[in-house]
Amino acid sequence: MTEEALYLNRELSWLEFNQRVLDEAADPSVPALERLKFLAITASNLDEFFMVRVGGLRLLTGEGRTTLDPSGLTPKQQLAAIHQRVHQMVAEQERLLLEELEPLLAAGGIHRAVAGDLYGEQWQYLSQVFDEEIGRIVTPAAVQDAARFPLVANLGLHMAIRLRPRADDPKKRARYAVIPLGGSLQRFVALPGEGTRRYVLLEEVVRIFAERLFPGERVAEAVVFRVTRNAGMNVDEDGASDLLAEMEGVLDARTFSECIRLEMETQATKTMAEFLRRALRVGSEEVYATRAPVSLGDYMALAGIEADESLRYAGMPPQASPSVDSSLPMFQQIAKADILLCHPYESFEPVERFVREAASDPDVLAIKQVLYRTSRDSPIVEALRQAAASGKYVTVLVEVKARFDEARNIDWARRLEMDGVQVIYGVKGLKTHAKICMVVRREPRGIVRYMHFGTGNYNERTAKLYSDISLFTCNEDFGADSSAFLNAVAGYSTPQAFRRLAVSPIGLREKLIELIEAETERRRQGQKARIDAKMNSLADTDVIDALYRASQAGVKIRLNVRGICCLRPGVKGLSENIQVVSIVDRFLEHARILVFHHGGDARVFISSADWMPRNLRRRVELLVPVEDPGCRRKLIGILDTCLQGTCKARRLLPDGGHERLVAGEKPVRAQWALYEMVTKALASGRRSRRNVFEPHRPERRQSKG
Amino acid sequence: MVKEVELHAALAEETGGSPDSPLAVIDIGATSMRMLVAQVDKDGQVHELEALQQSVTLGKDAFTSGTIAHGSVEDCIGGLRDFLRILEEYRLDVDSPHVRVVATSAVREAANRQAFLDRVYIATKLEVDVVDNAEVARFTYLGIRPFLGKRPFSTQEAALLVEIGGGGTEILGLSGPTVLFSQAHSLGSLRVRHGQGDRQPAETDWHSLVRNQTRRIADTVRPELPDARRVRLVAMGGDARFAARQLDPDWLGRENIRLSTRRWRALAEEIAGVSPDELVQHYHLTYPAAETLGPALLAYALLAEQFGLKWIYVTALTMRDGVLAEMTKPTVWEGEFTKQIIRSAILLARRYQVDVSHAEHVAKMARKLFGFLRDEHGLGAKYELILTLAAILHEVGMFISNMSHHKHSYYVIANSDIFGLGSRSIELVAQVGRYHRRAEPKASHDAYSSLRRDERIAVSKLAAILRVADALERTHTQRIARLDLERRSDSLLITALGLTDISYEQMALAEKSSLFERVFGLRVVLARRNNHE
Repeated sequence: MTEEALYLNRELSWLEFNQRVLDEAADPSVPALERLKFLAITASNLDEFFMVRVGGLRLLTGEGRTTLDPSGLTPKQQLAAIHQRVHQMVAEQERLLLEELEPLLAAGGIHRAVAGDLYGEQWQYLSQVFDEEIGRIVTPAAVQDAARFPLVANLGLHMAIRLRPRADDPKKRARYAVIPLGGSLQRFVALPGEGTRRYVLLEEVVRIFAERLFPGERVAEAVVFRVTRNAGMNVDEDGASDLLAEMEGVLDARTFSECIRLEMETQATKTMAEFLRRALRVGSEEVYATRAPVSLGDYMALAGIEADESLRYAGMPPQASPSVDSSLPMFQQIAKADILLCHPYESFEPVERFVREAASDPDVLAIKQVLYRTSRDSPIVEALRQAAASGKYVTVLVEVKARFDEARNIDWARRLEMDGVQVIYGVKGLKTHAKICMVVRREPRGIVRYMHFGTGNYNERTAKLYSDISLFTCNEDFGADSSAFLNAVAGYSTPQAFRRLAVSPIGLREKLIELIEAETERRRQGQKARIDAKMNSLADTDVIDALYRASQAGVKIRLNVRGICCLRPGVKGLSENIQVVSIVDRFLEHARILVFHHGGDARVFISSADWMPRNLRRRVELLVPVEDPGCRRKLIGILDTCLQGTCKARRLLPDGGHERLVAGEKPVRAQWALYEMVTKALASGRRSRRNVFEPHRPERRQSKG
Repeated sequence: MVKEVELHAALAEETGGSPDSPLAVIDIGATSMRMLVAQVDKDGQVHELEALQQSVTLGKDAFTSGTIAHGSVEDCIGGLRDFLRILEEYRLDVDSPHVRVVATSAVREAANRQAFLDRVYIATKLEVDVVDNAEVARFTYLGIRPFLGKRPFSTQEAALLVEIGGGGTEILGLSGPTVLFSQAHSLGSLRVRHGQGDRQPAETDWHSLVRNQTRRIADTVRPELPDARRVRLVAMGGDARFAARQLDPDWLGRENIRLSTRRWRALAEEIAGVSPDELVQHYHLTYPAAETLGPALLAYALLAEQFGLKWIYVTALTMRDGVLAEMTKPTVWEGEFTKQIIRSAILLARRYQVDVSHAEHVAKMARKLFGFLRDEHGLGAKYELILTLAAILHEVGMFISNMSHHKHSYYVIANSDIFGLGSRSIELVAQVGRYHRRAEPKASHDAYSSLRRDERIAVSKLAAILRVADALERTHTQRIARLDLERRSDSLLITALGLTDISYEQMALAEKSSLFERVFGLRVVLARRNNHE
């Protein structure tokens, strides 16, 4: 990245975000299994990053492209910078696991055993496991030579075996084989007995008994490795289409599957390492050797095992919202006033209840919803199915382009169709990311439309882990806009002019810039002007430019950006009035909230869109104003809390790095503060409503993923 | 109010639905098809539930080749099927009176219009009403009526309510709540783009075409205005709404809005200078909408400039609102609206130098007879209006010649514009007017035999009444000012009050009442009674 560039590089900014997650894994104040989880997240994040982003850049360099990105770097320069940064990061992952987390976990009773630790009984047990389970599944493939290497699956764990030369081979040539270790095999093999939880890694067991797979042979070396293949072109616009737009048609399938990263254990001999590198055709900078086990993403499974409570965060179960009365129907409550919920502090249950009640309400005529990512056996999907079965018109737009969820989406969408739901499989060329559910209900006063707008997916599992906002309303303008929006995405109508909502890619970006410019203009006229916003990523250069202009005019801008941020904050003459803070903590920050001072009559919004080119130009997204005074106050309070957080918050520096904020006398940990806000409000709400019985219910265990 | 409630109840009975069921209007235009689904609250306030739009190429086909291409028909049907899905969601049946489908210029002008309508019916069960210019004007008036008397519709200044559509320009001249005139012109935003037949205007040609045509329109409008310097331009339609949103992004599309002609012109020039492809990209428009935008906006601006106007008003109201108004208040054939129509007919009668006092007097007596014979003829308010108009216009043919003037009356009426009246209704007026004397309606009369059976019967009934009324006013002196009516077993007794001699009228009746006797089965007897008798 050049010094004078106006923007930070997108890829390096993302790596900084991953570093912030890794910092959580390194934070001694975080319980050990939570740290392990953060570590696993950084690893699986990197996997995706390599496949898509590095893959995309590799395709560009392969074609000899030298176009500069907004930060002024060529694809080649970006790749070099990425590899340099990731090598550092991998070294830190390795150190963290081996030197901090494993000892800490061992102290907590979770212990990784290696061959040398095993005693008789354990040895026998593993021998049996190998013969009866592992050995029956793993199938070595012989390797004739490096040019005819067997196909190894993307991101699958493999073991490369070097056999001793045949006695009768006068040239003493090395012989190789590859054993895939993926599929149904468990990575962590638990050892029986004792009070502690000891486990052996799958590769360790295979290594111990490998010779049983090669009768009559001697294994000289067994090394675990894993390859990452290029998926830059294979994925939708979520991936690397911004990089590759200019290359459409140039690429063919040949380029997709190339290997772009080779990870292996450091214990590999030079012979083995060189053989693998040649066989898989990777450059030396693309080889990542580690002392730690390969594929740390798998540790997510270990982080989920039953263990001592001290190794995890204390429970913070979602609370019933004081804004929702569990004894009254949702429609009745929304008709009275808009309702705003802040998940996961406030329960997602009212959202499920909203759809459930709609499904069984005889006055409901139609339900329309956009489903982006949802859970298996989602209660919302079940409710929609029942609604259709009971004769309601149910229309669901299923976004099949939701990455990695595709197969799952198709499967339940087909089932919905069979139950009579009108299923629309996305919008051509665009990914529908908006979160909206509309219920059309016949009431004595006429047809009334009830809406739920969200910043997160209709997924009750992630709603316990992601911080998101829900807004319920039956405002007539919002109803008309919602109908218009849903008719447009369903293809029933060309998009109509919207009264309140702004819709991407047809005006949301323009609206955003218009709102920013309005603050700039007010400031220029000597009025107070301020922009507070929270999002996951900020990368759209048009929006960044508008923010720079606002800063230069003197508008105070506070941004809470969890992930990528290409805006350089705090640069004199450019952005000295912009402050960017990122929170990485227990829950995944996911809400998009916007507050514009607007001369004292603040304009407040929630949105499904990040400020990225993909969201503003290639996705169907919504920007929803929050107009109810109570909801506005609550939302401004939520955003203020996030912006005032000092713990778990890092300030973005002008060079793209970040530093932890120094807590003053009263440190604020935003997520804890929000949780406290909800519990307090609930308690005072309960005091004023003693006539409702609320049973104690056991907290359900959070399931993995 | 009472009537509305009755209507709602009647509709509910017919559809088996709730009286509060929403209403839907589909409007098949030249470049787009739109559907409005709305509900009317207890206060008569209309609330929009859904507004849908689909692009069509009907206008492009109809205005260039004269027929709608097969592909365009099927695209249109595909779009209508999408609309039907929405209707189903509101539990609205296509054949219920809650759903109305109208088509305008493109379908009207297509040579294969009947085939189009049949195909649409077969595919969707939707019955499409093809409306003509006068009906468009009527719907426009009905839509705008609640706003008359409020800005920008003042009594001090006349308002020109203008919609420049793909196929033509509709202008309604208003002075406060009074309709001054309605005109239809051939300036269409799509027409100027594509020319007629093989004549494709060059890209730059359409600018001068628009310029010439707006000048001509202004010249036609000016004489109709009480004061051509005191006028306001109110623009209607999708292109005008687009301009309003561009010039005032905060406009929510509810209130009427005032925009500077200068800024409008600048926007029009900017858009006219850009290709439709670029407009699609930049403004997220559909291609057909992008094509018409430049000519339409330029035409509005030039028209405003023709009248030296600093401002252009935009209304969000559409023809669909008028159709909806007619569905919710079918009492439109009475009250203020009929007064507008009658006023328009009187203007027409004056133009043909009709003895208006006589004509109005005949109309008055015809209405009296119509009202008295309601049980006999069973016709509604709309036919009462047709009778009134026929009475007002029955002598327009005298302008051509005294000989067979009833025949001249027929074609003069049939080829005239009467504000608010569709061509079908005008045809009925013309026929009733024609049969006010001489030959009675016969199956051998082409025009008469081309009517539907119920219309033929109505024409006969109305002509019979008109003949009696005309006979009573034989002297052209309005001397029978008051009369009593009495139904006897086999006759209708008409007693003229305050007269001593009624022999003229009795002779006239003897000559003219045979149709009445045949149609109603009643002899007409005219008697007299002095005031002191």
